[in-house]
Amino acid sequence: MRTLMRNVLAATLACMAMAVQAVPVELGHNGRPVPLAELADTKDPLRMYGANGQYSINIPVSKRESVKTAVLHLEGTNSISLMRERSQLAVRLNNKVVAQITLSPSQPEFAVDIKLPASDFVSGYNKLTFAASQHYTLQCEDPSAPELWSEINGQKSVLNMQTELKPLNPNLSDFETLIDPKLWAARKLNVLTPAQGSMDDERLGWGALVAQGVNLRMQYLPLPIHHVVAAPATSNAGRVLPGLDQTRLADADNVLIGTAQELAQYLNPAITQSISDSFLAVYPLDADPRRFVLIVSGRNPAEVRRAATAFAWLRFAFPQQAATLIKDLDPAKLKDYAAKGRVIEQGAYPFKDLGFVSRTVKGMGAESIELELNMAPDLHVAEDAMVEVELNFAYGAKMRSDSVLNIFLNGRFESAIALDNDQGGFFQRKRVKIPARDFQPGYNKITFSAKMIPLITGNCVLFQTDNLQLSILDDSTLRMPKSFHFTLLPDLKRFAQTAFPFSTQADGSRVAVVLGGYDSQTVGAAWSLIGKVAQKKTVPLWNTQITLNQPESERNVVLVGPRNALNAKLFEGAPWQPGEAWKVSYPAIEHDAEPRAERAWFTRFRAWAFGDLRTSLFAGKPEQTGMTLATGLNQQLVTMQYRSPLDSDYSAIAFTAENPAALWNGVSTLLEPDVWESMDGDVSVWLPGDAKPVTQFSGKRYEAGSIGMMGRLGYYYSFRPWLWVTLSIVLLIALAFLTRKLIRRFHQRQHAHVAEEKLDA
Amino acid sequence: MVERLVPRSNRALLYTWFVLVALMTWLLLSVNTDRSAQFWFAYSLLAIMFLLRKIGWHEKFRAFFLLTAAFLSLRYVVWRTTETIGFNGWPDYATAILLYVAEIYGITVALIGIFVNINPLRRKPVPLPADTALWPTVDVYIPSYNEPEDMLEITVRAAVNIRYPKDKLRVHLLDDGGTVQKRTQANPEAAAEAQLRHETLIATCERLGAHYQTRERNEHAKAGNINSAFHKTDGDLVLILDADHVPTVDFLENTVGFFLVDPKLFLVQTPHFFINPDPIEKNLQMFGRIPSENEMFYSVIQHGLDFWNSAFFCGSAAVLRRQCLAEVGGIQGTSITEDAETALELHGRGYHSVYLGIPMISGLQPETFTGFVVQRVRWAQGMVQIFLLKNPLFMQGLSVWQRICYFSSSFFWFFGYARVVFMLVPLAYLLFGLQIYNATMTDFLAYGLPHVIGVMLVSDFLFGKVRWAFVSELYELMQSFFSLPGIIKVLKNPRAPTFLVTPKGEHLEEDFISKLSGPFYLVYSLLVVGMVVGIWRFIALPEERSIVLVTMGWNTFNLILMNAAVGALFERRQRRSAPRMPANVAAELVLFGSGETLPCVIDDMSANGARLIVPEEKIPKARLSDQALLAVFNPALGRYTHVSVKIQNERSLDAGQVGMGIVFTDEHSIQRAEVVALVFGDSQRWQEYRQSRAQRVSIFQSLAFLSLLGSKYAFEHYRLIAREWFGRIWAVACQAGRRLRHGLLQWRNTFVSWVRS
Repeated sequence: MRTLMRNVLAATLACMAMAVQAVPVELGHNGRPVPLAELADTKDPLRMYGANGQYSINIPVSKRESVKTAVLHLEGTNSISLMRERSQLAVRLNNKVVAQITLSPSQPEFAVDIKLPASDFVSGYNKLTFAASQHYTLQCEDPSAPELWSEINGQKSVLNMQTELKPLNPNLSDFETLIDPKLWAARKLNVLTPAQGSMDDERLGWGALVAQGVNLRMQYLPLPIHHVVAAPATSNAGRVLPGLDQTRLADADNVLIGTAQELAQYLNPAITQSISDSFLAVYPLDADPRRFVLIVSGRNPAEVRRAATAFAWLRFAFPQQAATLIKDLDPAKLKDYAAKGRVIEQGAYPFKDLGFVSRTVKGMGAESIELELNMAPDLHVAEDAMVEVELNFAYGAKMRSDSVLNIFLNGRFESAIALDNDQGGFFQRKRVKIPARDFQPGYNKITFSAKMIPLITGNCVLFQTDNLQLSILDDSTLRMPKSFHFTLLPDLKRFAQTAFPFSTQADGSRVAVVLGGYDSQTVGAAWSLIGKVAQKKTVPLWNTQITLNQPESERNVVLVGPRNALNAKLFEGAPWQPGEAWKVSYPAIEHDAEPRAERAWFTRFRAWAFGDLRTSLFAGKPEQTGMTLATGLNQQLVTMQYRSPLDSDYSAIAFTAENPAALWNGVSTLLEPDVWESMDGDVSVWLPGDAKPVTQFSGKRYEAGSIGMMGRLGYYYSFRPWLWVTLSIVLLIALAFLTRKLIRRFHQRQHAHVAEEKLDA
Repeated sequence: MVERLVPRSNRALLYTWFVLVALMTWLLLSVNTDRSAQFWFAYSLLAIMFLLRKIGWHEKFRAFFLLTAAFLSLRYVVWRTTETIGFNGWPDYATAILLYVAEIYGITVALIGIFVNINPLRRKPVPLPADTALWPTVDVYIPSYNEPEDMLEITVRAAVNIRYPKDKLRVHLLDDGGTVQKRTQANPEAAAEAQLRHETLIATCERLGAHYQTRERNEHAKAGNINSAFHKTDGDLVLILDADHVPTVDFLENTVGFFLVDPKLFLVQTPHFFINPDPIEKNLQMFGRIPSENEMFYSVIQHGLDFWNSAFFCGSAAVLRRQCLAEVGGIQGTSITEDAETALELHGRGYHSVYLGIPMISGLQPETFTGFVVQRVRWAQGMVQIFLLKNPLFMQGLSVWQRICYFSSSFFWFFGYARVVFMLVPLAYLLFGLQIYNATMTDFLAYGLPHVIGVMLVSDFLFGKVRWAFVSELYELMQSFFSLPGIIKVLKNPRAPTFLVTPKGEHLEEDFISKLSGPFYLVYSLLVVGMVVGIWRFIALPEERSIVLVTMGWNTFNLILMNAAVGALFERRQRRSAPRMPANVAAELVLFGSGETLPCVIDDMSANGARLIVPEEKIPKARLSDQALLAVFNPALGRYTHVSVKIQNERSLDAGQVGMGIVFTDEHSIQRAEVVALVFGDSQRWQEYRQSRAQRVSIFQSLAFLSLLGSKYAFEHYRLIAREWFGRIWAVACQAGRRLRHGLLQWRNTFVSWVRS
């Protein structure tokens, strides 16, 4: 069940992410039509096959809100072979039928508006099921006949829900629902600091920790962090924050950070007095009780930092009270690369360690079983290395011999297991190999899709489908081959997938975030970005340096700021250096295909032997057009990755724009998953309003990580096998020559005067 | 150490060698390339090896050839160690480790074998100076325990025949069967038998001009016997001969010279040459058709050891320097292989050894498999004792190469473990489905098969002429079921084993099945069951077919070996006490009565008789007597010998020839000595015979040869079992029939009486 929920959550989050492509996340889904394709995380129509076709999607509803109205606009098509008298589409909400539609062959296109009962929605995930009963005859029939189908247009069918936030009476234990990715309503979070004048690196660090705590609770969804400078109230009206001007805060959730002394002017004195250590408290916002304000404080900066760190780390329910003091904090000492469901290095990983729970699926249209795993971002494996999945699974007896278990990696078919044992049974350590190079850095999903067919089918035959069952057990293992932490950079795609190389150290102590200024837009952009990195890492980077000054040595550097505000020295080695003309190069022709003659076997052999097939990754770069432009950035956001000018063993990544406003706009939209995942090359340029950034590769590659001398040799010889063969033979010859020489000398020394016969073994 | 190996100027060469080895190792460990690259790499090296072999350059590029194979094996070890051992459950894991250890054992033995045999030293004898005054005095020791007197007489007679100044040669029969302890033992019959033996042998020695030696008590077995005599004699050198090891006349001429040119020499060892088949050869009828099992050791390995000054004492057919032996207190007795232990001790003191590859004794091997096992288990236990109690790797005074060589000699005897594992491991998968080798077929083709082919090529190159493929496997397999428990016993208590004398000269009156067959039946049955289950697996588990096929192939190979083993356990009768050895000597047979002279060729000879090939047309129609005189040039004596013979039988052969069986009839000591010199005294004859057997065949021919012989005699084996069982059933049935008949008769008589009454 947990797995199911997790899968559903992932799918929902993903589709919600797709939904925000058109509308920024802060606006939410509330009151706006959301295509079912987005909720179902598919671009295909929602198809239902057979006599009992079904399709389900999940509709998230946060505990913080109540559904006022929900209207489902449904458009679809059915087969013209269906028999009107017996064919219908039932719409169920949480297993309760809310509508029925006749599927008529004479009117195969249908469009209806269905009002979903608001009272039937519950907090969490609501299952919306389309169940099609499809028949072509009144007599007995083949229930798997191919003409039994209908489909719902996922783009034109939309759900329009009106929700309303409930008034809050929050406790710290409610935080998992207060910051909730399921929220249908608009999401916005302000982080308030007391006064502009008091902003410094320490306060930047507090905000960064809070931003990470918030983003980690949002799981995969972005939540840009607005930095707001707290302003004193003109009248002391509030119960909690009588001294804070709340006019700008009413449409958002808020976090107020500062020492007790700094916050005293805003807080109820009783609250101020209770700050006797690291302090966390949550209250309804005086100006809007549907929103909360989190107070992160302490008597001194160290206590505030501890409170912020605690907020970032906490995974269990806080105490069921509005405020608490944190006496001590001992963050976990994790290994580098540690992350949720992470495959770090060579070895066997039981499924359960990756978060998988044993699961059984049933029937002809059985749901898929998914294994999610998080590959270390910089794993390098040999060309032909295989990841072995050793499945412990069972399936039912008397299934048709063409039943199979298809295995997909990230949606791509990789392998299959024939479920052709007539007696079914339990199978241990069934090996399936998947090329290790097919795995992408970071999130991967292995899908086990069972296609189980009854043994006896046909017209007028009673179908037995209860035997169509398959279980995959959590003691199955995934075996990672020999691998190194080694890759080539810059690679913004890898950064987008995994936040590499900023996510590798356990505590973020090798990361420095350098800001171009203390203005709220730059600060908000930096906090949002570091929150995103924490999301990718799945644990907070609680030792990261965030500063306006020169970063400490031996750190990967994140530069965030307007182009003219950042230290020009930090751009040394970047593909483009602010203030200078920008050298641009891009392919002269897209998809410049060249005809290739069929090659003879010896040409192919030579190609294999000398590695040109293997080096295709680096070869075939299309002709580039280069130009140098003396121009500014206007409203564009530029992201660049390059070797750190401060330390050649580290990387730098810069997020820069013409001014703070453009930077904030750019970053807050760049965080949208669809935009974020589109980064590539070493430079990405994004203009607000565009669906995806423009990317290019124009800098120099450099190596990140260590492959070791031996690994490097193996890596190199994989590309040049004949060089390896030749070198080995030369060494063997040299060794044999020396051995012979030594043997002769030994002979001369030991047996100089021995009369010998000719050797004749 | 380094200084001893190479002069200072050569040290750089040695260091460079080490650097290259390190580089190769480095290269080996950096093999994280893809499988296809590995595949091509391995088969490229093999192709070069095959090419060198084909064009006959593998001897010219011997070091390269051997190192390439070693490289392939080491590469396999690296891969095997790092990638193929996985945890698939405790039973699987334990079996996988057992197999891994067995493989590592095999590869270690193979690699050290390459080192040992990298440059065999094949010496020529060092001539003795013309002035015999310079020749050292020699005591010949013939230790005996329970060997028959006629066997001892031949050996003593041959020892006396040795060409050496009589004043410098003393032959001693060291009789442990006639000690005071034996003669006064509680059992009066045994005591009388010992007394009789004592007196008979004293008389024999006096008659032959030898010295009879015995002692008070039978302490420390053979070593104690020799040491007892050692203190009673004073020759400069000691020649030790087993009771059945009949020396040729030139033994001392060929060996003593080495002692004169090297004052630090303590040992000259010569090959043990056997004139009868061992039980496996005999039962599979292989004797004379393939090289004997011991040829590999005496024709190749000892030469390799000699190069590294590590040739060791094999208990007999060796000359030792008294002074050196005295320094270590005589023959050592910590282990039951006192010979190797003594050599180890003296090598540790910086003395040298020599191996001369000329066969100059002819001995007997055990007739029965039981005797063979007694002998081999003693060797295995003794060498393992040395491994444990005087481990050459840690013993002081040995050079690095001597440590390696002695390690090789003692470590080899753990083969029992490897053989049993290799035999049973396929069953672990076939019968129980255990996963013990985490690799795909492609992996195995890229790493495993090249290693196997490389080892076979090297084996063929080094030993092909003296050891056919898979013969080692058969012999080791047949010993392993008994040597393994023996080794385990030593491991538990290294000082426990006691010296058991190898039975020799036994007569087998009829065919029988060895009493040691039990374990073979069990394993054979398991292998057959494994094949059946394997076929079921192949049909029922389609996804496992490739691994099933490989495992069944392995199991089939084991079955072929086991078949041959079962065939060899069918003990064939052996009535002839004196084995005949081929000869090709021109002679003349002078017939008594008519005085006709028949030119003939001696086709084979034994201590008691010979077979002559005579042209049919020369044979007179009527013969007056079956007595004759055989005139033949005796190479051992350098003159003609005339021997009285009796014609036993005649048989027509092809090409107009007649085979004529004769027996030697002379009783006189001088003439018996002539016969012994004729039959056993010519080392050239043994040499030629050895060379005639040294022929190379392909691996497949060898496998086919063993398969055919194995099947044939395994069938005989089972037929005998069936006959015995059938016989028992028939006997029971007959007995029941007789009882029934008897009952019926009684009933009839009763009935008749009743009717009559």
